Amino acid sequence: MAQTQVLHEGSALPRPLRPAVADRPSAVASSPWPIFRANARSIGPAIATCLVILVAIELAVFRSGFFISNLRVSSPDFPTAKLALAARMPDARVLYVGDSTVLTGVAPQAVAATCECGPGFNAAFAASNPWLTSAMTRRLLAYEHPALVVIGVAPWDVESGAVFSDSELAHEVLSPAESAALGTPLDLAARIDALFAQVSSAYGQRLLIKEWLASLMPNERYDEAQRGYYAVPGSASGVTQLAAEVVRMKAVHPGDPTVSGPGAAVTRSLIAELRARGIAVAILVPPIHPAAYEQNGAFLERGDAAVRALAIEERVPVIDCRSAVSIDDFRDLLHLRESGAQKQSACVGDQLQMLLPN
Amino acid sequence: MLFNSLEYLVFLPLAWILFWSIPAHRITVLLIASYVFYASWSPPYAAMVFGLVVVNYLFGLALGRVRRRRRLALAAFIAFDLGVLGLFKYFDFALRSFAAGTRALLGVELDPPLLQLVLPLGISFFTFEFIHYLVDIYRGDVPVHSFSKFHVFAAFFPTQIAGPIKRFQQFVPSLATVAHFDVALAREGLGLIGRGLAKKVLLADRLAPWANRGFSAATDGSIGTGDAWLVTLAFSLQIFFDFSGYTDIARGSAALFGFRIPINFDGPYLATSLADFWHRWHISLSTWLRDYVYIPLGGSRRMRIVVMRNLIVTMLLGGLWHGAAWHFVAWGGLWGIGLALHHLLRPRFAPRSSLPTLVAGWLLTQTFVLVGWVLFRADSFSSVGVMLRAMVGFGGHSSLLTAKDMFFIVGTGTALLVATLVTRRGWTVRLPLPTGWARPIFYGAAAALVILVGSITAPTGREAFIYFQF
Repeated sequence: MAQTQVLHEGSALPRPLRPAVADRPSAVASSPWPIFRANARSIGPAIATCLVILVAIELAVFRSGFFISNLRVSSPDFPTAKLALAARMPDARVLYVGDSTVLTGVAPQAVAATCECGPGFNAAFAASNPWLTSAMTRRLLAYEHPALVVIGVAPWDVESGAVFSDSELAHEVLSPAESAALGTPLDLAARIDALFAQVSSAYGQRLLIKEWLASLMPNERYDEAQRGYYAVPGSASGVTQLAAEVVRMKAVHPGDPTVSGPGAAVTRSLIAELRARGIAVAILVPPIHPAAYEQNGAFLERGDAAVRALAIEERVPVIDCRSAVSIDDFRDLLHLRESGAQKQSACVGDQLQMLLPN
Repeated sequence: MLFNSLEYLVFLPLAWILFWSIPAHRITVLLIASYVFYASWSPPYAAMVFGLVVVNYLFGLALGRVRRRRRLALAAFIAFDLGVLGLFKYFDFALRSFAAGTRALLGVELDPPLLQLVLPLGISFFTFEFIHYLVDIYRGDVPVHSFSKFHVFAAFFPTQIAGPIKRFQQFVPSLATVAHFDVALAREGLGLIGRGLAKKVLLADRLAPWANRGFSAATDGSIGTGDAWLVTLAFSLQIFFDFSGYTDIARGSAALFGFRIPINFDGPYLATSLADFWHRWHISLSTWLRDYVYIPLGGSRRMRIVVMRNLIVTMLLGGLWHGAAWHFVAWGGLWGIGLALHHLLRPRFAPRSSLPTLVAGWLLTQTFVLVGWVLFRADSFSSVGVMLRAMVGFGGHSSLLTAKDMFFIVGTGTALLVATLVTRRGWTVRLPLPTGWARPIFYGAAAALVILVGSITAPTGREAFIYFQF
């Protein structure tokens, strides 16, 4: 306290500015309860005020749909944001689903420029896999009524060792029942979390609220005219960076691509489900940097063959625009720059036009 | 159970209500809460913590009684604690290093059998508390005879996982005051918890992706010069907000139960010399290293060369304490050399309190700190090389961060410095509180705001505290 006084006097502060040190003797009791009891007449109205405010915000902001209809995001690369965007764009006739190769490689606007197939929506998200893509597509069909779903299927999606694993990303896409059906039931903490999220939308939708807050920063708002497409900033196409990515790819996907793998089975079942709903399906094979073919060619070529075999078995057309992009169009090993996405999207539009003349 | 998790949000109020509702068994409630907290991560390891507490309690009593060969007894007891730590934390590291050494020097390929044990959370922290306890008893302090009091000291949940490293002379006497609820202390505790959560959720977790992206690019072999500086700055801010946020929550949680835990940070990024930095960063660790490594080695009352050796040895051990990896050792070594040079040159460049000297000292110190963080954070020495080459102007092909990113990172750093200066000067505005009927409404609205902000900033489960791994 004495030291604070010295500082205070020495700095000659104006009156309203005071040291942040308690200058009154502290109230001490044997427990907090007598203090609560002594203030019971104030605590009641305080709790009532608190509850009224929370319920009012829940009803007026979240349950009324005001938040979703006015939501802006800064980045559409995760499922929750994609679902929120989809709810605001129910007019999509073509849905693009898959992982980040689709997210960064297909610009629905550019597709629509070369194809009379109606507006599209890119619902792909980073680090997706056949299980999450499948679940995401099902959820999207609650908002969208597409005529066509284009599924991105990469060589690693048909790898023999691919398995579903629980993750935070999965919790964004899958319901607790779906998680349980996939062999990863929610633990107690996750169930409490889900319950909490149901009761309080501020908690349940915190990811979106954080996105909205981020979108308020200058130039951070996602341009919704891009309809789900996302251009990853920066570049990582140096020789050493590409080599390191190939090493990672080999480590993460050590299995052998096969048309009978678990990922392929999930894609088959998604195709069947979409057809049953009267929705046409196409498979998109993603362009991959030539460096990957140089250093991991056997895996990728077997993967390409497995994806094509899957398409033939399921009688699904394959959209292959790999020749439309050049080496300079890659941002890194697996993702296209904006220029590359424009080229691939124009090509996708041309191929869709041929596939769906009507 | 993370401090920033929903489980903790439920656990803390429950423990608090029980603690204050059962006056006769407050210490028991604290112990049960501490074991529930630890066992929520791993019940077998919680049992192991109990075993270590019992053993060290007996060690303490024995040290207090024996009259002969006390030094030998102390060495044996410390060897036991370090042995447990070494088994879990350093055994595999030592074997791997030995195998790598024989491969490099003799060309012999060894495949040593590794234990691959999971590192018990907080083991580095509570081992250091045990050693402090034993050494201080050896030096003449009276052991804690009450097992329950020693037990709470060792297993106290707010500081169990990542400190601050407590001193039993300060903590155990405060157990006598658990009969009293201090309103001001509890209010201070809530404020600390709020501040800690804000640091962690709003700042550390926001900065993390940039740091991760940058160091991952360095691991892949290429990063630009500007990016290298920015991501290192981002990491330096991330680790500060992460660890000081954790410490705030730990201190705040302890305050709710009536305990004052010492501070761990005192404006480290305002330090104007290397020694000054360690008076401000992770204070409970730096004072521990001073008292139990540096001073026993001879401290600063020796020839200059011996003092320099002591500084280097102390910081090497400090580096190794952070993790079983050579880059942590190198980080400690860098700091040891830096502090030794500081000790050597200090008499020649006696500090003058002129503004230009302070600014120059600050710039040099903080540049050193940033370079140190590269060693601390990088995944390998090759990525350290990539990062440092980039920082001196030989950056590779990459453009990771945009102008917006730079704005946020530099802005956060500047805001931190300004906020630290303002806080240290005690310049805070005290708002007048409403009176009468408006007062409960004001508090109700404030509570609603806190709940909303807490709900929105709650983590999504991906964001663990950095210092939990140590």
